[in-house]
Amino acid sequence: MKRILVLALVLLSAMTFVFANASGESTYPSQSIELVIPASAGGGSDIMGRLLIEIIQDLKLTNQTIVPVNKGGGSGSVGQAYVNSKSDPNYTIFTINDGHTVGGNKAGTIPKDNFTMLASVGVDNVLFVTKADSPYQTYEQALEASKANPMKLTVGCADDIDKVCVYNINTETGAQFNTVYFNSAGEIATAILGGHIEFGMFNPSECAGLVEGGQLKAIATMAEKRLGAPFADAPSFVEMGFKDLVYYFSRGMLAGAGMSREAQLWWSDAFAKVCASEKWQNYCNQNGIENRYMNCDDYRTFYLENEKMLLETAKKAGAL
Amino acid sequence: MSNFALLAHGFVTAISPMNLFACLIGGIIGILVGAMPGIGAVAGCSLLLPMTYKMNPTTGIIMLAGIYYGNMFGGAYSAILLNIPGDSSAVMTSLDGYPLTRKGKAGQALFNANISSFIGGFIGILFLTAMGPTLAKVGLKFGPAELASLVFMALTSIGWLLGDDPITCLIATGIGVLLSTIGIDQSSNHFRYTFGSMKLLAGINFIPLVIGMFGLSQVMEMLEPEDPSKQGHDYAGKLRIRDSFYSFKQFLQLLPVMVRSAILGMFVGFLPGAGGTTGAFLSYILEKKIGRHKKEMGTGVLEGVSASEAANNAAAAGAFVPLLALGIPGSSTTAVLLGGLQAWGLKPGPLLYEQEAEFVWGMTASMYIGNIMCVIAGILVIPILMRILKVPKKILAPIIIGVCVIGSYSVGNSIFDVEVMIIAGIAAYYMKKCGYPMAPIVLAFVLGPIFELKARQALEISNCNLLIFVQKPISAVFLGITVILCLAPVVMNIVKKAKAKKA
Repeated sequence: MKRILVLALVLLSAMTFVFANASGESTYPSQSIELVIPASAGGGSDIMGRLLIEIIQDLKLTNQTIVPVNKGGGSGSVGQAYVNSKSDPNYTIFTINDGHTVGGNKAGTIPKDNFTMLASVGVDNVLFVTKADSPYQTYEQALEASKANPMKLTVGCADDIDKVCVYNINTETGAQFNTVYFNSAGEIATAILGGHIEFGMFNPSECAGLVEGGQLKAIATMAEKRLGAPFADAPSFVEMGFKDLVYYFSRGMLAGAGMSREAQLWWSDAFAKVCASEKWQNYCNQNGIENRYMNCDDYRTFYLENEKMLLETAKKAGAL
Repeated sequence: MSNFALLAHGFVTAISPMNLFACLIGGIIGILVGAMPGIGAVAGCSLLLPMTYKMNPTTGIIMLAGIYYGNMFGGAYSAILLNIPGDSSAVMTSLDGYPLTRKGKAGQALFNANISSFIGGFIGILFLTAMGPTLAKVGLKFGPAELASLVFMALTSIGWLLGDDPITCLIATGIGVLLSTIGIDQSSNHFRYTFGSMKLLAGINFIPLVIGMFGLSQVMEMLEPEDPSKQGHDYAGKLRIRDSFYSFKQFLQLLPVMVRSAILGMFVGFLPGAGGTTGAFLSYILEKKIGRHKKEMGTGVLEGVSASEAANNAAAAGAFVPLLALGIPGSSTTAVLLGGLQAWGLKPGPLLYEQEAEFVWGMTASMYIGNIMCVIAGILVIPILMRILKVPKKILAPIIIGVCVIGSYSVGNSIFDVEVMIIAGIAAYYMKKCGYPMAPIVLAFVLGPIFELKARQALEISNCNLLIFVQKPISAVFLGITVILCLAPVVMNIVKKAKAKKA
């Protein structure tokens, strides 16, 4: 008798579980969500990831909690491996940028049918920077000097994307810049200021303080048009006549492979609201990011094309 | 206005009740996270950073800076009492701190650690106040080649200067360097020693390794059957707080050690990417070369504790130099603080001193106050800390194991780190039995990657011309010192033998 009772109880609890799950399916999300930040706590990517969570909660888009999980290392691949290890693809999302796209391909953490694209949240600009009192006050001067001394002038790079950019600059403008790898943009800045290297690739937020302070000077931007202050003096490569030399560093949101269409659309919509918020716009302004939302389908098309371009160039540049 | 007049203004900002409170809280949290193995200043600051977003920036940074230097105080406690460095920069503290505990002088060691931390921190902040922006310019002179040579000097010294047997030391150094190469190599994109494992891609984390090698292996030793000839864990015998203090005369004897270690530590602290661990290590070596008790270093002398603690606290202050003057972080903790500065809407960079004078000087002033608060708190907790020694082994051991597991898990919320900790612990236990010292492994693990990265950058800049290391004067000097350090024992031996022959 006792055994039957226990069995009945177990069955009952199992049934409630099934029903709970079934009823949960209708209103996504029905449980807490992990937002994986493939970077260590405190850095730029971490601040951005946590801000996204804050805005989602401010806008009350869901009652479920969103837990930030920091998984830094391996150019994003450690975080991606963690996402792949999750059994339910519907409740883990993560931040991605172009550097991590290359990193994931290098480490082999991109699933066979790729991740599920949710939304693009913005694009970052890339600047070609030198010391304020350097002998190369314009890109033309730098170009001439690099042609005269091939591989003698050095550009500091903090990731594969920077190397891809320098490769493109070299092939499009005929320059012969040498690249050196540094751990962070801060280290590149130190090396330029100390006169150990001549140039560096920076995002606007990484060098704004030093440019305003008159220590560094941006002499070219990879964007189509010039950026606002304090970079307004830096012409774009397009302006200088290299019309194919355009690049934006894209930042977006992905989920593990196999996320349901319903969940994907929910997030695509949620990030539309996030990107329209004042808080996100302020963050973008402060960090020189262009607020560029794309829904999940547009982003997917863009992402796959962009990935292909990045990998091809990275291979040619010897970064893959 | 001179810097010190500005500092006086800063004190007005720093002694507002809210800022004093933030400073006290930061210092206490810092001491706590420092004393807990695994949770260091980086983790402490990044966990609390989001909390400070809503604060006034000055209050926020006062609290976070408090965590940073409080951590340097706290790291010494577990190193001295249990031979488990609470933070990587306290590794050198354990070399003399723990033997002091075994001699029954734990109280004096703790007291001395606090005083040395205070003096070191004070000198570091003094330099920061007087010549922050100037020092930052000196730091810039250290490019990849110079740093590579500096670290090379430190790396080669490990074998000769720690422990009794150079051979085992060199082997341990080699193991440390090898362990540090595991993972994906960022600059060449090669996978090294990952054996196809996803988990090894990011390499081995430093904290689980240290916790395992020092903490877990220490517990295993603790659990060995009692050796009746030894006193065992009974070195807590007579614990009186009065025995902890030392005389003013003793303080005056230790003061020169603290001052020279602090200056060296400060200097290493503001170099890009060198950090407090390197600073403490170089100061310890300096003491071992020129100190009054150079022969007894490592057997439990107060000078060893002073050198390490004064240096790592000064280095913590030194790391603020490039952060404030240029907006470039000098250590991983200041990198977190840089994130904070940006989140508070401040623009770190050379204009910070002019545009945000209240912020910069308020924070600098609070560091003086915080340093005093930490030393008082540190001395007050000595009696409580000493009780740890009275806890019976059978209770203490499981608690330490628990702390080890939690500490390594909390690094990246990953069970893999716990596995690393356990393997490192067991390996370390047997290596220690065979006479291999642990400190060289840890130091080489920290220094190896810095050397590799910097040497590679230097070679990339020079298009693989090795002469870059001797063409740069600063680099050449370091290499010269390295040669002298390596050859000195050999030459001395020859001279000795020649003299013996004559006689």
